[in-house]
Amino acid sequence: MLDRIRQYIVMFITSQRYMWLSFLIYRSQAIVWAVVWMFSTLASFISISVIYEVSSGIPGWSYYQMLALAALSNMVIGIVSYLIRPWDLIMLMRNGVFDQFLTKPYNTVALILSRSGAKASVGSIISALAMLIYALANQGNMSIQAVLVAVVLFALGAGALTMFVVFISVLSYVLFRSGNYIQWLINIAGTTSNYPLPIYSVAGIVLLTLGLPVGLATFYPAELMFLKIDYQLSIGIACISVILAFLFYKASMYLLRFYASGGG
Amino acid sequence: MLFGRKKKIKTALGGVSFSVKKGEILAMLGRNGSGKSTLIKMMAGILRADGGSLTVLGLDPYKDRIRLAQQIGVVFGSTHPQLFWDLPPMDTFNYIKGMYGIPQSTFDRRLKYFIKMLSLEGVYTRQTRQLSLGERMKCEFVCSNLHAPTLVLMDEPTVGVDLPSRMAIAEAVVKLRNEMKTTFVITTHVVDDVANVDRIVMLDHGKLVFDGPQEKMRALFKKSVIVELYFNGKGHLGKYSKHGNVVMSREDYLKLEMEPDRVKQRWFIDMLNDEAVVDYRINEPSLGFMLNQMYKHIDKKGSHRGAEND
Amino acid sequence: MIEAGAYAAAFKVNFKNMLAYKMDIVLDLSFTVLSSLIFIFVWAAVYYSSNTNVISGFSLNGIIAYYIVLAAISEVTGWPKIINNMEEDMKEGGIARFLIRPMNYTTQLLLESVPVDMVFFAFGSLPILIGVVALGHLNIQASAVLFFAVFMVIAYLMINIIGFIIGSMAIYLTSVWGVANAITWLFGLAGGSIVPLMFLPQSVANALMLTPFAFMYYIPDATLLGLIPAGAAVQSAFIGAFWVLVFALLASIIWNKAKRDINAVGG
Repeated sequence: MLDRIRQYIVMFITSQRYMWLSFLIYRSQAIVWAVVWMFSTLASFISISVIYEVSSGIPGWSYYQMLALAALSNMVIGIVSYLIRPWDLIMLMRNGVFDQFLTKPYNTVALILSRSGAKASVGSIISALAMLIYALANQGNMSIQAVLVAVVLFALGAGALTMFVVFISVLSYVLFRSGNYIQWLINIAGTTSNYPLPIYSVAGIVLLTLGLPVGLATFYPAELMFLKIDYQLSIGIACISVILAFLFYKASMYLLRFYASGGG
Repeated sequence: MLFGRKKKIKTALGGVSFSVKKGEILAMLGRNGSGKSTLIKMMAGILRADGGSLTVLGLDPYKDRIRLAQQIGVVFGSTHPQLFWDLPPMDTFNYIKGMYGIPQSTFDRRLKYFIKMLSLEGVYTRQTRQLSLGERMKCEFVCSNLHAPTLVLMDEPTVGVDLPSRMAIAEAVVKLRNEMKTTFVITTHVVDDVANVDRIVMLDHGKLVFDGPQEKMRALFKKSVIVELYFNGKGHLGKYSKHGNVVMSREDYLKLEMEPDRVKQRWFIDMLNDEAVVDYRINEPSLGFMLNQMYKHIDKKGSHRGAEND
Repeated sequence: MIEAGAYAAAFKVNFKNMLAYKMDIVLDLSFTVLSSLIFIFVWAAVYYSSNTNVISGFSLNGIIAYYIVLAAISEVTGWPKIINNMEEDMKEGGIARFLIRPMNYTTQLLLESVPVDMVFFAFGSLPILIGVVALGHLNIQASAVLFFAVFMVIAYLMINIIGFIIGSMAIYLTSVWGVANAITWLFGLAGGSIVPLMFLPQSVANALMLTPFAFMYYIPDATLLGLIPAGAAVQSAFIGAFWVLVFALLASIIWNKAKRDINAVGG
């Protein structure tokens, strides 16, 4: 078992190494891309700053708490995008190049996550991390324990969202053989999760927790970080993340049976 | 396909099965849409069979894809490359090393072996996008063989590839079979690819229509010789074409399929000495001719005369 | 001289081709509306928590109207589709199949992208605008509609010419999506699609009104809402036309250079 885990880690690192080498061949373009990804964090920063400049802001959330929430949002979108780029995956499946993935001795979803992401999204992850540190440093009175548990909650939520994107990408391939809209869906997930879920009403909370589960990696970890929810509830949220990730994984594996290859 | 204790491979598709010995080179032929690529992908565990059963190396290819992938290599044509486009093939070779956990010393030894065998010196360190299709396909072949697979599936590997590269790959296949006992299953449209194979399997509309060595195919055509006649001008076709089945004709050229006994007869020898005939050739049917005739026959009858299933 | 029938035929083929991806179009249309809806939720929360009905001169109804009109504008100007087509054509020398046709390449590009934009306008922008008027969120003045139409044309021309410039660069770069994304983000941020410009400090907002950014979202939007008086709108129209000319000039210079280099790449 441990040996198999080691093999998967080696596989992931190997894939990443050559994905990065390919990406960095065109350095100027790589830099432009990384900067583009930073823009989303910048946009969050500007819009939240403007809102708090002209008003008292979102009820129950201070300016720095909001920045931290937006940072988590940009970070999770960055991480998901680093692991999977739906449009590319669907194109690989449509033209049959995906066949090459399946000739390798690893789990299909693991192969997808190691080979089809956008490396430039690291720009978003770094800028969001910087914004998070800035926000937490200025917020003050942080509980280290809460922050650490929030990190775990964030990781599990990121896992659930990643599996959701894998699922929706494979589903789109099976149903439509296209999926330009998924990037929109991810953008929407990113923008909505910049703000606390309750502003979208109960329906919004349910949808962004269980349907498009971006809230699991953003809103709840942020609430825990600022002690707006207790640890018991966080365990419940963590369980939801794990269950959703598992269900989306299983559903993706089932849908992959309908992969039809292509391209001659 | 079963690769079991008896070291035999069995395949089932459309209710038809065939077997292949370990270390055999099998060519799978068929027109576009005949089902050969689908079968190769099913054998690799890429596609799931809707019905029936399929076993490769004792495994269910789809269910046991991960275990099977460790033991097989797959070469696709240029449309499904595994080489990183912007990096030199050497990077992809190193990637393969990591993916299959090949020890460094083994990797170095095998790489040296393949580089020499396929004359890839000075090629594998250049950016893939700068390589010719032939060079790329030779590197693709290396990628699929670096982990020393027991079985290599090749799906139309030589489409558009130049002749020297095609020959190099064909020779490499034979060499690997001889030295490593690797089994090869190759789908192709290129007649040259079939020259060195042990067995030919023809599929049509998902059904097996021929299975056997080249000799068996030749036996089907033993009642034929190909006669080519070159005339000194126009107007002779009508006189000569009635002696056999016209395969091809131009104003001053005629290609006939004839029964071997007829070409020994006196009237035929006189005909060759006729003034109008400036040159002639009598040959056994070529492989390309035989395949084409078989396709024509399939279109007429549904399957070839004498086709047997093992 | 190419017959009009050839243009009509090309237009028809492209229209049919686009309809093959109906689901993508429907979802694209919906997500543009959703983006605006998020900001409506955010500002609603902000207004409800503040003890005032007006922020920076805007009522909540005003801001809702702003984001709804923004959705209508974004359906057409959000992303220049011309970039996708050009990038595809430039790569691997695929442009050759267009250059051998007896029709100007730019005309062929327009015949590809205009049907898409027409669908987005007809099934996205128009229903939204009719809806917002029907719901009583907007009191439309005839002059405002006229200026809105003018600014929409300016925005449409500008985004497509910029798209054409970026697309032309595909001959030199392997991918122009990075640049295209950077520019559309910049237009969104500085053009009022994320935060309305009137919420920015006055000096910043005034400066942005002179740049091409504001013409993409804020100026058409604010004009329809009646926030820009007729005099200022006329002035803005001239500034907008000036920017269109500048970009057109730039596009022509870059395209003429790129055209010469096409044969050297791919093929």
